[in-house]
Order: sequence, then structure tokens, then C-alpha cells
Amino acid sequence: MTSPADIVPEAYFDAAAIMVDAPASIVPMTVIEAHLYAYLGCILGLFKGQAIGDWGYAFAVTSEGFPFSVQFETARSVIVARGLINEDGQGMMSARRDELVAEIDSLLTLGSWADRRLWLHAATQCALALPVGSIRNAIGQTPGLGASVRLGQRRHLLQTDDVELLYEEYGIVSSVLGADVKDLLSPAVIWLSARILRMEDAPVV
Amino acid sequence: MFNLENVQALVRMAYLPHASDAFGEQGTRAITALLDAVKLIYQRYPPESLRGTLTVVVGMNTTPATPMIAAWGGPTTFQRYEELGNALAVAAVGAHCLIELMQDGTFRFLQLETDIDLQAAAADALIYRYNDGVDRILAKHHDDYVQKVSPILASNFANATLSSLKEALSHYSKFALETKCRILADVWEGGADGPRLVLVNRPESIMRDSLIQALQLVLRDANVRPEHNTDETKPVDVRVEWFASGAAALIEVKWLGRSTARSRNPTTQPTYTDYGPPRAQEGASQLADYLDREVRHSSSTMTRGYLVVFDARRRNVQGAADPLVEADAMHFANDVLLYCPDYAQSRDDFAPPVRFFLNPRKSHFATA
Repeated sequence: MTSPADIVPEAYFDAAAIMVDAPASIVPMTVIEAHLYAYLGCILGLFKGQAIGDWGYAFAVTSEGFPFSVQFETARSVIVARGLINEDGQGMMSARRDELVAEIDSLLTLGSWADRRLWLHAATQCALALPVGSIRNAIGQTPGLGASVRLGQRRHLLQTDDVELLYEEYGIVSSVLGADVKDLLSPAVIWLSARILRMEDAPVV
Repeated sequence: MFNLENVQALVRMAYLPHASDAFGEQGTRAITALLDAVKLIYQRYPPESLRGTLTVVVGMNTTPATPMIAAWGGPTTFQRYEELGNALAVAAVGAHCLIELMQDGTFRFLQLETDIDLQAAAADALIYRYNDGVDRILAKHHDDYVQKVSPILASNFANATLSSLKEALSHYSKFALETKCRILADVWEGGADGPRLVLVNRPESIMRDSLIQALQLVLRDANVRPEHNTDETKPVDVRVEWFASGAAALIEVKWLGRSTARSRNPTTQPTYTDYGPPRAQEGASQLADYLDREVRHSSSTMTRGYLVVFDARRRNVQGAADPLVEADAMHFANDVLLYCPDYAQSRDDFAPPVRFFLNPRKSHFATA
């Protein structure tokens, strides 16, 4: 049984925000897709200067190779149990919109989460430009992660070397895109696309 | 690290910032609305089924009473995406279908015999165009061709998300048939645009990589990765694992036909490796043996084996550039491979083997 003390507020907010703000074309979504968008939102926050340690909860890669957060999953389960998200027999989730919007409005009075809502929204919007399968593969391609997946090991994500690599890649995208581009979605989609292209150039390992 | 040229090419065709550049904040909002609508349309009617072009527009200065596409005819009003899908399904061959998204959430639909001037229309609208496998997005002077993330997608905005491996393999077989995958193109001596009669030396890793990329893209909540075949006791090429279900699939890739052999003592005469149906049976037996051992060593509770056979056989094949008559080149197109023992019949964990026939190029057939 999950007690209120077990719920990380940021994870609860993120699980609600992802479902309520996701574009219509990407819902219903699966549980693992919700974790993917939360993880991508965390990376986009990193690009905008949010410290990983301040995100509120951590991600790991599962033995099957999926980004996953125990805290996010606990929060998501609570929201489903409260009837704010419908989950069908195949694990496909869709929001009960009016109730979830009211919940988000209430949460926004409790914490300064407007920025993370933007990052999470941009994360879900990336799936408008790129297939979700390619997004998952693109963000899973860090050197340490690839080795862990091949060995079927769990591993914490966004370790120091991962973060340095992400900063370097985002720096290249930002420098080519130029200072005039203010939105978050454009550099995010180009960063993901560049990772996809790099995968195509490289042999499958 | 990133290839700088790749990033520069992506930025040159970056339709997202171009929409903002062309129409400011309104363009920023409109581009995500446009992409969302295109994806929703393709969920009702896939681009590969279109018999002409599709243009979806968001006018910058239109109202529901004055739709932009009324300039080219009398549009029909639709309320729902299902209605748009039905309209596209009955559109005439070669028709140019126009859809305008209105601010009140309704749509205007028009079918034309002649195409519109896209560049002129883009002066005051954000425009998406699909034509024969090519996505374009126009905004004022910007005319961006959308780089495909995979050749197995007709459009970046129409991705099949399949739950079953059987469906995914069936999906892939359509692209393998005409070697549409960029990775798979390297499998042929002379490339995919050549006669497609003889495979390159050791083509199995190319086939495996092509299959992996396709499955990674279309399989929902599944991780697809290569297995490293260190010796004959571990022959499996691809492993698929589904999230939190304990389900896994092992795929063994085999090929039939003729491939160029690389001789240790190079001579002027090319030598070849030829594989027929016994090679498929060999793969089936290796896979069955490996599945037996997987049961003992894996944490997966439901592992199923799949034998995938790329069939490039040609009757009377000679060299890579020696043309064949159609009857010979297509002789095995509809062949059925028989297995004895047939593990798909005798055991639950062995799926029916899948055969991908790889077509030769018709334009290279010899005249009889």
C-alpha cells in the first residue's frame, strides 16, 4: 500500500502533466512511453540549466533497456488509482481531462513547477516530429547505457559522463541553430534527429 | 560526437524554427497543431494508401466563414477525423486532396484535379504536403523537405506502432520485397538499383541490421538488440524483449541464394556461395537447439523463437551482371519452404518461419 509520504511531489506532478498536456495524436500512451517522456523532459530541463539533482527523482535503465523511474511509477499508479487516468486492459492510458486539469491547477498553487511543465510538454511534442520508437532509441544511445543493455544490467541514468556528453551535443546543436531560436522544441527535435542520424551512420552494436 | 555536417543539414531544413521565423508566435503554435492534425489524419488513413497528393494547411488570416482553400473550389465541412479518413479513402486516383484546419476545430476538405501553387499559398499559410513518400513543410519562403528517420516509414508522421512481432515482420516484408530499406540496399552486388541477382559477401549482418532498425521503430514497448554470435552454440542474431512482461523473442536470420565469396587466393574468376532450402532447415535446427538451452539459462518466462529467411534465390543465376529472363529471376517468388522436422508444428515456443522474398529489378530482365 502506498502512503502519501511515499509519493515524490515532482513525480506526481510530472505524471499528471504528461497526460494532460500530451498532443492528441500520441494518446492513449503506454506506461513505458510516459516514463520515456518524463526522462526526456528531465534531459530538456538539463539543457535549460536545471540541475539533475533538483529534478526530484532519479531514472534508471531496466534490464530490458527502458528508461524507468520507481518514484514516477509510484506516483503514476496513485493517479490511476484515484481515477484521474484511465488505463485499459492493454495498459494504454488516457486522461480524464477535466479532473486532471483541476488537479494540475491545484498542484501549481503548491510548487514552482511551471518550467518543468514546459519541458515535459516539449518532450511529448517531440513525438509529433519523430516516431516514439526512434526517440526511445535515440535517447538510449549513450556509451554506458549501450553496454548495460547488452549485458542485461540495470544502471542509473544521467551519470556524470552521460551529462557531459549531453551538454556537448546540445552545445553543437545550439551553436548551429543560432541565438535567435528561443523555443525548446526546435533544438530538442534537431538533437534527437542528429542522434538518429548518427545511429544510421554507425554499425548496429 | 555529432557529425557537424549532419547537424547543419538538419538546421537548414528545420521546419519548426522556420514556422516561427515566418509567422512569429502564431507560426510556433500553428506548426504543432499542424503536425498533430497530420498524425491524427494518418491514424485514420495511412499515407501509403493515398492515390494522389495530400496538402494540409493552416491559414494565418482565415476564419471558419472564410477558409483559405475556398479560393480553389467549394470545400466540404467535416467535424471529425474519421470523416476526413473516409473522404481520403474514396478520393480519385491522382487527386490532389486539400484539408484546412479551422480555428473552431472543424475541417474544410477539397479534392482537385490540378495541383495548387504551394509556394504562393505558403505566403499566408503553414502548409504540409505529402507526395509519393516525401514530406514537405512550407512557411512563406521556407520550403523544407523532411528527412526520413527510416525508409520503412512512408512518412515521419505516420508510424505504425505494433504490439506483435508477427505483425512487425509482416510490415517489414513489404519493404524487404523491393529492398526499400537503406541499410538493406547494401546487400546486393551492384546495389539496390542494380539487377539484384547476387548478394554481397557475407550479407547476413546487413540483413540483421536492417531488420533490427525496422523492429526498433515499429514495435511498441519492446527493446530490440543484436546478439553476438560467438560460436556455433549461440547462433541467434536478434533478441527482442518486451517491457515488464517477461516475454522475449529470439530471431535467427538466414539467407538463400547466391553470394559473392571472398577467396583466400584472389583470382580473376569470381567465386560464389550458394545456399538452398537446407540452409533454412539448418537455421531452424540451430534455433530449436538454442531455445532448449535458453530455457535453462534465461530469466525470461516466455521466450519464442523466430526463423527469418531472406530469400534471394534465382534460377540459372550466373554473375551479378548477367541478366536473367523473368521466368528464371522470379522462379522462387512464391515458393514455400518445407521443414522437416517442422518445429513450428511440434513445439509451442517456435513460431512459423518467415520468408522474405527479395525481388530482382524488373527493368534488368533479359528478353527471352
